[in-house]
Amino acid sequence: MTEKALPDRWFSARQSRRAVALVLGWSLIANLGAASAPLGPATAASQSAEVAPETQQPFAPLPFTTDENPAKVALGERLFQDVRLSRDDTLACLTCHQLAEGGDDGLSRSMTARGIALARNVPTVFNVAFNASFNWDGGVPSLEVQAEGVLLNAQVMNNTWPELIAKLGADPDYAAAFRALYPEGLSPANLVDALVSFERSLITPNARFDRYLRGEHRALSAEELEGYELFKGYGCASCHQGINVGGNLFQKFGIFQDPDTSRSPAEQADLGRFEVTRVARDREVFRVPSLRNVALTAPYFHDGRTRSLKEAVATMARVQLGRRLSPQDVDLIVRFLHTLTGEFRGRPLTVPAQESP
Amino acid sequence: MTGVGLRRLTIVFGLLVLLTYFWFQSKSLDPALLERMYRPLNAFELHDAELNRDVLLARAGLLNHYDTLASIGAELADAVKTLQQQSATVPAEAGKHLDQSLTALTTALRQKTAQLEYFKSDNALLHNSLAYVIYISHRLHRRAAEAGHSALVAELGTLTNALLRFMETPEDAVGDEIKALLARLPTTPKFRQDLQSLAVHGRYIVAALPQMDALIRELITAPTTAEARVLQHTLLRYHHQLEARARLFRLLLYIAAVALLGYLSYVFWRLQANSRNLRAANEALEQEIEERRRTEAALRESEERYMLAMQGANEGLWDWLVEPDRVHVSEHACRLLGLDPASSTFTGDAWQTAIHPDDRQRFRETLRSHLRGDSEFFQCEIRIMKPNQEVGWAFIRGLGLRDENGRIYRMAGSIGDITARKHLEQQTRQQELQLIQANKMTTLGTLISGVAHEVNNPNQLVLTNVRLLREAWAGAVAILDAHQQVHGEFALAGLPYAEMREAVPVLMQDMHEGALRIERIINNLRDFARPSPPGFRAEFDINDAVQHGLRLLTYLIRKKTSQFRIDLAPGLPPVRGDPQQLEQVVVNLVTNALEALPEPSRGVTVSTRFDPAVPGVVLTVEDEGIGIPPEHLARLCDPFFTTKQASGGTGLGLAISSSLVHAHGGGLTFASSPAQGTRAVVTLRQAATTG
Repeated sequence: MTEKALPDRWFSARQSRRAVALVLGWSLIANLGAASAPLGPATAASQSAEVAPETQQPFAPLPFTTDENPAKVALGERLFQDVRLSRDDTLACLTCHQLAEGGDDGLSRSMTARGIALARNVPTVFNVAFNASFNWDGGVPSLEVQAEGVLLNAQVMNNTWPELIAKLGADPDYAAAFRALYPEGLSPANLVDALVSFERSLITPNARFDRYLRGEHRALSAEELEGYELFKGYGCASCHQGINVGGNLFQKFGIFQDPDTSRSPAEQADLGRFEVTRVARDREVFRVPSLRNVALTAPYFHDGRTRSLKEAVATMARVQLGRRLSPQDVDLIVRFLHTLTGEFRGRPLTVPAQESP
Repeated sequence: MTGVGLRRLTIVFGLLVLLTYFWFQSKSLDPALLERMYRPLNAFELHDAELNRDVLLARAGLLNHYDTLASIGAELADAVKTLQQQSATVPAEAGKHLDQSLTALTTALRQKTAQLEYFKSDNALLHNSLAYVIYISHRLHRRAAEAGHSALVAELGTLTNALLRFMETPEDAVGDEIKALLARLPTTPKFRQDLQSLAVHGRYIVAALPQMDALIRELITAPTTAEARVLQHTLLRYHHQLEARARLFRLLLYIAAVALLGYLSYVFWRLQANSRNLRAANEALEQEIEERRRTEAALRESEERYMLAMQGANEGLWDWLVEPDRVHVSEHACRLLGLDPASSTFTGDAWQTAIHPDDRQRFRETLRSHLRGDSEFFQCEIRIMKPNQEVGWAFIRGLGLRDENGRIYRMAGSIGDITARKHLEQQTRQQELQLIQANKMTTLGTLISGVAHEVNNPNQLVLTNVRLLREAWAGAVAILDAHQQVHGEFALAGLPYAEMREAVPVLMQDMHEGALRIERIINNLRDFARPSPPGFRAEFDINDAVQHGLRLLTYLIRKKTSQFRIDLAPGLPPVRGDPQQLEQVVVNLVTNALEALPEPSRGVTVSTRFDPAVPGVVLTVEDEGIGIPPEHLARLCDPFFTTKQASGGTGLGLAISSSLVHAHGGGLTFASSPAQGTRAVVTLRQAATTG
């Protein structure tokens, strides 16, 4: 951020937000006063969307491109697919983050080559550039730390930097590529940088919902729009908001109900963020995940407890909102959630064959 | 000169080093460093305020989504990270304080970020519950009204009212009221599920809303702002410290620069002054050279003139350095002295060989006298033995330079050829002799003629008569013998005849001799009156001359004094010269002495003695007369100087005497004290036979 740019941006941001606050304020009062909408306050807001449809929404469309250095992205992609990043040449980043699918591995909990099950469900690598925190517990503050953590994690890549640098440095292609991009050539920081550059480039723009947000009202069907309104009206959008439809805050899993009623008392609950902060109120608190491409990222929740999106929606409504949704409403919301599937490298991501909503 | 230059160079160099040092020290804190610190700090404060604002917006439901909060949080973290990176570049002493502030800031931000996460979570839930209780109570209200459940409708109205009040002001009392209302809601089976939902969310709101407000208060009042200020103050203080130090060094720099400038000006001024002095000195030097040239020219001219004058005056120069005993003798002087003109430097003894042997002694005496300081000037007339055996005369004059002890260390003077003058003097003496002759003619001539006439005649009568008387006595003796025979002894002229008989012939003889003596005296007088031939030289005894002279004055002596003494030393060496001339000197001197006597009781002494110092004889005529006034003493020997004009003095007596004495190579000096007497001393060298 340059000094010169700061006031301008600050000014413009303040101006635009003041306008938004005004409009939202009026709509809220009108909503509370009339209380006539069957599905909640957001309905009224959507109806007055003619004024400024883009800014009133608690969402924002993904950009079509990123400004990552293409050369670094290309190098990062090579690394991303390279099993030599793991000590025993068994795992690549791609192993768990299948780019042809939802950016994850489709498993509840991934298994390493040595048969070790990872603690939690693998989150998608798509659109990580727009997440405010990473992993289920927010334990890593940045993608760089996440990447290094995975590489050096004894249960995952199980590598050490000297070994890894030596191994990759032996490859003249890598050595030349790094030298071309970085003054100091291949180094841990540069390797991570290249990887993260690639990760940040993994965006899935132009979902139908994004097109809707950009003003293309016909992008969503009537049912999907109804689902969208329900999504907001029930309060899902209180947490799943922002450009990534989630991914920017933490929430306790199970506000109004214990989500683990079926769990035997002997089974230890996953304490979530508490493991990171050691603060009591962070018990069973997890990062609210992004819902972009959610139709492709089953199984769901930190433990991948269900492959059914409907079940996941119902569970969320029950334990987080203290509501019981009718199957119709669940169905409508799921329809809406399918509009969040974007395109990767110009091609729409597809629902895996085994998916059965 | 080089020492001064080196010192100045050192001072200038030192000042330059000092200047450079001050310049380095006077640099302000790197503005870029401060800028790098201030920029993230300002950004932090700005984003912190932004965050607070967005929290309030989110609380009011006016924030679309939490992405802005997340990005602001990320920017705050970035700012802190930048600050941490930049603080590593801050010098250590300030860095310590900065690190403390920065750590506090980081901690505050971490706490605030954590609280922000809680806020987001709680805010999402609270908004959901708030929206839902409004929605569910409204739906229950409608359904209850449709079902005619008026009690529930009333309860719901009260509950909605209480909820709205609680939302406005989350007071405990209202919260309790809501909780009570929720507890006593009728458990109508038809509405049980909605009622349960209402109760759950209502209770959640009552619990969460005050917590929410507390959380917001904590967020807003989080110490991030304060810590940022502290950090800013730390930076400012550090900046001010550095700036004050830099200002001090700038002042020192200025002072050093002024000092350097001043010193350079001083040096420049000195240089100018020096060059001015140099120029002045140069001019003075040129002037001096010019003056010296003029002086030298003048001196040369003067010397030439002097040499010319000296040569014209027939004078040579001599210069005697006493200590190494070197005499520098000018060429002319060499020629004059008969020395080899080729060598101009001689020892004191060597150049005296040129002096006539007879004069050497006198020369040395005179020189010694001047060296002793007895005479103001050294001057001496000497005879020179020329190589051709000619005798020349020279007049040496000189003056000694005396040191602080009065000793002469250098003498210089001139030497002049006075041979010609001496010849002239001899001619003068010839004329003097003629004068003497004239004097004789006037004094002795008349006397002698008188004596010859008046004395000789009676004397001849005496002589004649004595002869006659002798014959008469011879005849008378026979008669008287007979008478004695006859008459025996008898007296004659009172004496017994026997005695008289023997005495009378003796008396007769004495008379005869006396007369003869008178005759001789007269002859002597005639001799005296007759001039001696000039250049007559004979060796004679001074005493003879004295006695001859005195004999001529016997009458005058007897007339003038009863105390005339003669003290002639026997065995005196002979002197060379004209005895008659010296007799005349004696006559003149004694006559003068006698005439000076006021009465006969006063005496006159004539004495001679040998003086080995001369060597020669000294004749002294000493009277007890009236004396001579000092002013006349020096003029005694001047011709025609007389105090006895009235009594027939010619003024020639002493002049003749003096010239006569000098002609004999002697000296005539007078000493007199009025009323005591006068002494005339004639010094005559003994005859040269002894060398």
